[in-house]
Amino acid sequence: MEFLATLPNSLLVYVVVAHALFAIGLFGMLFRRTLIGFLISLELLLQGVGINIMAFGTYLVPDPLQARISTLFIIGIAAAEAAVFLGIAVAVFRNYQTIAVDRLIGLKG
Amino acid sequence: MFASFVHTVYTLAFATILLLVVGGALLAVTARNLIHCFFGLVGALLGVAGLYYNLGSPLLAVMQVMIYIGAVCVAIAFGLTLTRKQGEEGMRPLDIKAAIPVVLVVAMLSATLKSLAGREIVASARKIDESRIGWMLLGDYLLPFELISILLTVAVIGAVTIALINRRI
Repeated sequence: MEFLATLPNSLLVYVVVAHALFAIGLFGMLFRRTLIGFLISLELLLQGVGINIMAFGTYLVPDPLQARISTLFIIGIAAAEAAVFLGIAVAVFRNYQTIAVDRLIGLKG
Repeated sequence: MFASFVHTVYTLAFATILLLVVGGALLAVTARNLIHCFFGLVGALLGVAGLYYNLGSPLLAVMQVMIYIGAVCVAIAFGLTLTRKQGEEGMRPLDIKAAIPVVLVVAMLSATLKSLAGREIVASARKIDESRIGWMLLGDYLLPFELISILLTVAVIGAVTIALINRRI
């Protein structure tokens, strides 16, 4: 119980959770079958990066506001990337009638 | 007595948030039905907002809920319904590639923990005046701030243009 009570204010928890999210997202990017699943995994991966930046910025950097600004930028860029990705997915579905990543192999050598 | 009760509730809430993040992420990646993946993603994003709040940043928690759950997840839901097709769900069979994330993340985590070893923690997650963020964004960080507005505009216009193209590529 005492170990549990120190959890919310220790850097280690955030670092481990962030790395776990990164690993889960990378795993999903390698093994999901469709572009939408790929996008969902990509969002998880970016969340891992955001938590990591916030944790280190809060606990190790004298001015914690820089980490908040970096994370805000990450959120904004991720939103832009998701919009473009969804547009591409819809266009691909309209042209090929599928978004399965193992069938979009027109560039495969 | 009352303080320890409050602390217990707080600790339990934090454990719930951790469970929500990891469980939601696992559901989002492994579920067979894409709708279940979507709800797993929403749960994980909510949990991450809780983590941001716990790190002393209510601003980022609200931004996370508004931008991710309010905008990105709704867009993903629409994309999901527009591109749904039977027989294309679930995951590809596991093979040797599954070792890549495990090896990579174990290496990164061990390197991080090693570099953290002698470091002292300078700040706790309390008492941060977040109202300075606005001034910093309009002062030192003005150029990235404007660049990200241009990026968002271009991205939205580009996404609409790509999705509206009605002929074969």
